[in-house]
Amino acid sequence: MNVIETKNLGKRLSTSSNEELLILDNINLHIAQGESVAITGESGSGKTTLLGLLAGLDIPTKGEASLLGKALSPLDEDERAALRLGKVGFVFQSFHLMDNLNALENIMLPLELDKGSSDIRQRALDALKQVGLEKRSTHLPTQLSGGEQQRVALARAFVSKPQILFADEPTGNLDRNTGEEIIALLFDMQKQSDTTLVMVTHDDSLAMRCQTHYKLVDGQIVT
Amino acid sequence: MNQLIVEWKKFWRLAEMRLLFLALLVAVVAVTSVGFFTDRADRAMSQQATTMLGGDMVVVSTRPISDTFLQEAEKRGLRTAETISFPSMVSVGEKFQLAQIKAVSVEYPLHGNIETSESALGEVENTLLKRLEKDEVLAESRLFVALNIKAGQEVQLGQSKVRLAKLIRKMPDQSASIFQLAPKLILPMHQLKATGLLTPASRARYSQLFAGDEKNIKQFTNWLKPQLKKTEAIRTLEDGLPSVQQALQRGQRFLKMASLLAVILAGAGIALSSYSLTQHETPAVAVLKTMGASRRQILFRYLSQLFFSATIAALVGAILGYIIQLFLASYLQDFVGQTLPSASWWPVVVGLFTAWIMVLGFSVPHLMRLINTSPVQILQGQSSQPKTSLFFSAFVLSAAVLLLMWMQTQDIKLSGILLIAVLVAIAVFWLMATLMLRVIRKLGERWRLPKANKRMALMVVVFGIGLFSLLLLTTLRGDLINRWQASLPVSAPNHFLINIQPDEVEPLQKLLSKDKIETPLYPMVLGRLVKINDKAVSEDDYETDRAKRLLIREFNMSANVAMPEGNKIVSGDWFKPEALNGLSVEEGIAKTLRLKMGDSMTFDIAGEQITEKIISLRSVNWDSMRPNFFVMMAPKAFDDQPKTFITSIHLDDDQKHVLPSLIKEFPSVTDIDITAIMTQVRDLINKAAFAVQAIFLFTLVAGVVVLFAALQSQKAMRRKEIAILKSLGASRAYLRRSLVLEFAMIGGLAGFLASVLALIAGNVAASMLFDLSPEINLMLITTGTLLGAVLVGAAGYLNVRGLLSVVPVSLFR
Repeated sequence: MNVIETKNLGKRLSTSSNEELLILDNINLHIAQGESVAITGESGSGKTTLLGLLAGLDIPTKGEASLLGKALSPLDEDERAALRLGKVGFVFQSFHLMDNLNALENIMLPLELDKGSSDIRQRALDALKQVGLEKRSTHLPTQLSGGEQQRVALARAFVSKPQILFADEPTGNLDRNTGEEIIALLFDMQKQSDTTLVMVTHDDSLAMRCQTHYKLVDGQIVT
Repeated sequence: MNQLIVEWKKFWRLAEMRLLFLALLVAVVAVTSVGFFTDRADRAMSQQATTMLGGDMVVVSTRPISDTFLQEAEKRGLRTAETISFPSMVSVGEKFQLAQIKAVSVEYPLHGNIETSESALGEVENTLLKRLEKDEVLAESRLFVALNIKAGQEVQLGQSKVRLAKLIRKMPDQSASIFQLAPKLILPMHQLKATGLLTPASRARYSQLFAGDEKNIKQFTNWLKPQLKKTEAIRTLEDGLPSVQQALQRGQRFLKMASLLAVILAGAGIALSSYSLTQHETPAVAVLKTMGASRRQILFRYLSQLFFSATIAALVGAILGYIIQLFLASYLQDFVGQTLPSASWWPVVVGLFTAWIMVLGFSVPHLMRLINTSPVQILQGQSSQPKTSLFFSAFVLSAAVLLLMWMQTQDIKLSGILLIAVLVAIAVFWLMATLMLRVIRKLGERWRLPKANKRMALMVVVFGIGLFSLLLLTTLRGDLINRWQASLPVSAPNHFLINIQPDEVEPLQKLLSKDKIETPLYPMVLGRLVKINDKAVSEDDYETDRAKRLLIREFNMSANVAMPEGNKIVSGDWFKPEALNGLSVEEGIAKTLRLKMGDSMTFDIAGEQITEKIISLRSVNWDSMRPNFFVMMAPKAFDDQPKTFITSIHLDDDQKHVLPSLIKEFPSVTDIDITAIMTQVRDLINKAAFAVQAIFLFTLVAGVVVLFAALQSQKAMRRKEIAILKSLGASRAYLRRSLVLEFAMIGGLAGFLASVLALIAGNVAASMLFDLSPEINLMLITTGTLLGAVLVGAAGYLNVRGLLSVVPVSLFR
């Protein structure tokens, strides 16, 4: 079963000088449950825009994208958010941890948003253990290194056992060694939980580790 | 609740949230401490006024009042008393003297005491009417002097012989009678019938006095009001102590204005810190949205935290406010001379609502922007908030400020004017700041000053308004109180001399001039207003109690070549020295009686009707402690009228010998010592000044909060700027210089604008609220500019100093 599908997906933006800018055009994707997908491309090729459209963070100007079997265009912002709740996780290039929450509290956050969650604290602790930071649970993000922050971010992304994980340049802000550790951990967790992974990266070697690799050039898929 | 506390702990880690809480706390402490204090002072003054009135509420009439009021009052558990006043002759042998007889029931007075003594200078003691022998009465010393008798002697009163047991030194309701010519005689009610003086034709004034707890009195008054006949009126506490109350009300107005400034300033702090908070939380909200949070969830998350913070700030603030108020009150207590009533809970409610309104009004516009943050921006590395309509923000903010002002002043018109003033101030600040920054930008290129930009204009407006409040309060406090005290100088009269006969005027003036006392003597004639514009008038023609009373009472009228000190002509012209005709009327009474220039008034003066036209209206400074008159006639108008004279003099401690010789030489002249009232008024002014100073501290704290909130809101941007400048090769010394210079420039500019505007506003307030004439104080502008530059320069530099060690590599993260 495909958890993500797009049909002739396109995105145009109008600039301040009223010029139309074509960011994406004619994107057709089918991503199955448990699959790992890499989207690569040069700067400005539209890969981040595509990630936003696939996750329902933004809406296309052309075509259609569906997430977990549901077309996104007819839904408003809150309905799209409800669709993601507990089923979609994110890992960002700049980690985006809440700086007023400690490591454990950051991980608890997605569970707290979902009213159906139980054992929130225990589940968050387990996730923290899984990324090897159980001793740092009360530390604030500013007290953690970049690699540790990304580990917390991974734990936060996986704690709700999402069906899909979107990762945006997850090693972009890390040194080579730390980056590799994070990637190893990411694939590990993805396999363990049979999560679909959609990763945007400009690192071809990283892309090669995914089952499927799409390359974007000027807003279109070339492979 | 537990969840709320847990969440609050998390939010507390944010500097913006702590600043916001601090701003709320300052506002609540300011509001509640002033609230508790004025509440207690108000009730203390009411109590004092009830003492002057003799009860909590009094019904007066020119006809006998039916017993039903008394019966109902007793049924409701209220204490009651009755009085009947009328003029009558008192005689001893061949000597006759008109006296104002006041027949009173034994319960009189319900509040306060009748203080008496055996002789004019004898020891003062309280006298209970029920302790008097069955033929004993009390009288003012003037009656003893007029009849040339001593305490204990018998006099003829109507068909009775009564004994003047003691001299009255002080009694309730005396204030109203100070200028009444006839001395008072207190007659226990059970002796009245035997005198045979009271007949249906008597010109008597009947009163029923009631006392009890506040709620009960209020309910009873409500029950009674619809049953009043046209001849009956309720006398309230306003008749108590006019000058002391006026001073107290001024003091309270001062305090409330001071606390309002602190509140508005704290509001700016809240607006700024919630702006930084939402700025800081924008990426967090975007992340929450990627996780699937709905707008409602996000709104609830932030709103519940803001309200929870407001509630905690309100509770903590109320406790602090209560403690601060205790200090203020203990200071006030010893001069009020009575136990202050306990504080009510009302200020806590006001504090709570103040905090809630502030959170709603000052941070909701930011919050609305925050919840509309688009989640996709988290991927695009932006951190911008969608715009909300400026109109919406302005509306919410204005509504909040208006509501806060109304809660403090309870006067919607005044609040409206204040709001417009604040909006105009912001607009003026913005305009002036932009203009001056443009000039600085031009000059700056030559002198290598920091580049003036929009952010600096914002800072100038924010600091400017903060400094404006501080400076305005300083001028109000220092300048205004000085001038206000000067309006009641140490040399203000402290004795009234009344009942001076025309042939005593010259010798009396001679006697006084021996001690270098020069004072005008005013003739005084009693007249009853009978016609306006040739139409007969009665109390039934007017709705207000004040107007009714004016028509029941006799006017004390005077005539003089010069206008009394402290009077000001508001319309028309003062009399020519030889004038025989015309009237000058006090503007307040003219308004009450609906009189205008050119109207004619007819007075019944000793049986003769005199009609004159109004040729001028005057304003009168009632707390000048000098003889003041509602109606003054032409300088020559009283030449042929029977009259007495009145004057007020100031006696220093070393001039006290004047009084005994004066009384000995002029036995019919009565001296009224008002030193006590004077001391009370001056004390009140001093205490009010102290209290304002205490509240001034809140404004100062609020100002500092605003300063830090403003700096906090720009920290992230500054960090980036400093990193960029460093990467381009800027040294720490260079960065330090330009930071200090920038803040000093902002502060100096803000200080200059603030002091100019504070000067204008202070003078407007002085003339509008406190009837003082304008004054220009150039020192204020110099001080303001320097203060702004130093304060903001130092605080700004200290706040961002840490950023100087930012390493440029942070740009790459």
